[in-house]
Amino acid sequence: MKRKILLAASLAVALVLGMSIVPAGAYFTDTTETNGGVDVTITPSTDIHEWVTQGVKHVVISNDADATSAVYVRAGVFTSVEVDISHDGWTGPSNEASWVGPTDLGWFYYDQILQPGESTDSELIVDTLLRKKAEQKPEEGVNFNVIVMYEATPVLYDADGNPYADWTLTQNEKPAEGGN
Amino acid sequence: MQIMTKRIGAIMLAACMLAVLAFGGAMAWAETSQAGNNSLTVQLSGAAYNDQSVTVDITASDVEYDLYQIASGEKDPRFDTWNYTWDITAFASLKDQADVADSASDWQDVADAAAALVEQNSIPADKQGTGGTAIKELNNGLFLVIPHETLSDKYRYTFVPSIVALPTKEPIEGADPEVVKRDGYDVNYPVIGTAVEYGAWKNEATIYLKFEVVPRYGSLIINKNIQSIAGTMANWKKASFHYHIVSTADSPFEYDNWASVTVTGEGDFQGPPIRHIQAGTIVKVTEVYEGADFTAVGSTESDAVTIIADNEDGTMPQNVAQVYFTNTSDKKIIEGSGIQNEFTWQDGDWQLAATPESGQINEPTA
Repeated sequence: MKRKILLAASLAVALVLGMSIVPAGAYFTDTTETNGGVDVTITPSTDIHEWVTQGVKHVVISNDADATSAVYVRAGVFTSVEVDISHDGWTGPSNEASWVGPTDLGWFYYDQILQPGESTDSELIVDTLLRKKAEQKPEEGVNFNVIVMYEATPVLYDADGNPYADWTLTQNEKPAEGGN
Repeated sequence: MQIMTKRIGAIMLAACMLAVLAFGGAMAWAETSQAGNNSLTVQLSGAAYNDQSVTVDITASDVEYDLYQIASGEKDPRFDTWNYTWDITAFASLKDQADVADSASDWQDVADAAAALVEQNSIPADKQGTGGTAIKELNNGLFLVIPHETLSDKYRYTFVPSIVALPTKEPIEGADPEVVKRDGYDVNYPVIGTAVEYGAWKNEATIYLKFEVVPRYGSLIINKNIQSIAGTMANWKKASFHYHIVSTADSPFEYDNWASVTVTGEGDFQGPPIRHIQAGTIVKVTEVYEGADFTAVGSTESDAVTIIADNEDGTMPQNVAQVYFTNTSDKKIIEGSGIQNEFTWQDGDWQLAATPESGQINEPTA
């Protein structure tokens, strides 16, 4: 059975999810079956932004306005020090507020699909607990790194029009889940 | 933490002077009154006074010092003591301070003042010596010893200036166990006691330097080679790789941190150096995250490397510790990157370094 793959959110999906309706011309649905796989011209175009206030990182992922697909995003935190991660709007690897690294690549998945031009309206907040660390009277010059990274993958749709993500999908490969 | 310099001097003079005043007797002073008949040997005491956990990795012979005669000495004809004349012009101003010094702390202050005169007036040393080797033919009098700061691969050793009297007296064995021995070594503490606790005047003096030790720090560089970006998505811009840096079980010091390298194409890249790792630490680096769209070529764990101390001017040495990783595109339809923040404790607060950028270090081959 040929598999149809719809890349980028369709208008119907947007309505179901309650998202703002984006003019169809801003993105397109591709049903190509190049070599039975995914068209390489449909690619995410995203970026990560942050601002830091008193050691608290506020992280936002954005899908470029001229992107050609909606995306799922997920984020990870790498650090060897204790941090508090607030992730309302994200589903994390743990329901606990504190996160003591290092992470075993536990991902925080943003609960919503990002359409082109949209950003995660719920920040991933990483509090590096600087005050608590200062109370330990560190040596002059002591340093530590906190890394927040993200991944984005195009939204895929199964035969019933349900969106899903395949984080292992490669170009020229049939999606592993959701299609039939 | 900042190492607070303690003012611990080791001066025989105060003890000797007080002891012989209490004794109050005349003693023969025959050959000890001859000029140029003294020698001085500088040794190290057993452990750093500011960090007893440090394994000392220098010997006395690694320490160089400057020696200055600051006052002349003449044996008192009636009492078992020496009288000092501040007739050396460069240090004559210390007389008043020295005349009232009657404790170890006081004499350390005199030593510090003398060292300050040396620095302010660029006074050349009378002699220069190396620890463990005697300087001979020294006159009778008071001498200032200024040891040079000494570096090992792991530590910086600093010393306070000392004043030593030649000839000298030392506590006799058993007079006061707490005084005679310190850290397993005879020490030249200013023992305040009676003359019966001391032996005869000695022309051959040995002083044991107390020292403060602070760690030296070095850097680590993570190198990244991207063999190919072929097959990455059409709008691919960059990718970040994330590394876990951990000290090995046999490392003398512990370390645990993360670092990123961001690449923008094919070729060789270097992440920003990871600084302030204690010199001598042995680390392994693991590429935990291979970058969106990329897969590792070869091992994702480096060999163990030892951190080498940075140069004194803060630059990295030529043999700075480096590790290498190689990746190539795996053609996934994934996009991603990351942001690394470095927090450093400086001047009583956490400073956030600007997100460091990785640099491409050569052009990719065609």
